[in-house]
Amino acid sequence: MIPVKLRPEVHADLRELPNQRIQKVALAWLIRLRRDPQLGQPLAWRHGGDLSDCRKLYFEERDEPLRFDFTPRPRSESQPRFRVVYRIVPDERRPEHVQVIAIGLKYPPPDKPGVYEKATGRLDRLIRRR
Amino acid sequence: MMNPKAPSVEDIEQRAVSERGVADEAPEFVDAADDTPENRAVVRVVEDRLARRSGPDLELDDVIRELGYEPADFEPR
Repeated sequence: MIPVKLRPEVHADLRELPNQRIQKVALAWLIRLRRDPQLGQPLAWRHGGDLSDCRKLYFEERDEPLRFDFTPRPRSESQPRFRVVYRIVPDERRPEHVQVIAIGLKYPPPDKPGVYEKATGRLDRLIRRR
Repeated sequence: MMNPKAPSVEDIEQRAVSERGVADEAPEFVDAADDTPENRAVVRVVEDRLARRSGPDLELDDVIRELGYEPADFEPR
């Protein structure tokens, strides 16, 4: 088991989830990451920022992450709307803790940033695609 | 073996602070010719330093409590 830590902004991400049920599902997935930090799928470039050291975890309201036999949804299955973006620190070969970077929708309402946009901004990624 | 072309953390940080907020587009901090794993590792160190300015990371159990739950409610079974 390794510790799971959250960027300070993720507290607001969790509060902004639409209801208590989805909030509890998100927290339960974060608990699962303690035991299985490589549960999420590897990421690459998103929104002009390099997220190749991060992973993504899809989740939906119907998930039951506290059941060990429940696996994360693949993207193709009913298009899960919510995502957790996290990384293993300092790197995947020497896991010391999981750092959760952002939680939310890939396609938010027009006036809100999407989850990948939030993640690249919060990591202050200096190397970007032009 | 240390890459002789690897920029120092201080150089990258100084450049990051001076160039960000001035350019409309984020500058490329690792030039194509010097795009090596070593150089990217240096940039990552600077990124982590900059990102930590928004505050220290939060512990998951503390966040669970602040949201009105108890960590014990989330024991996997």
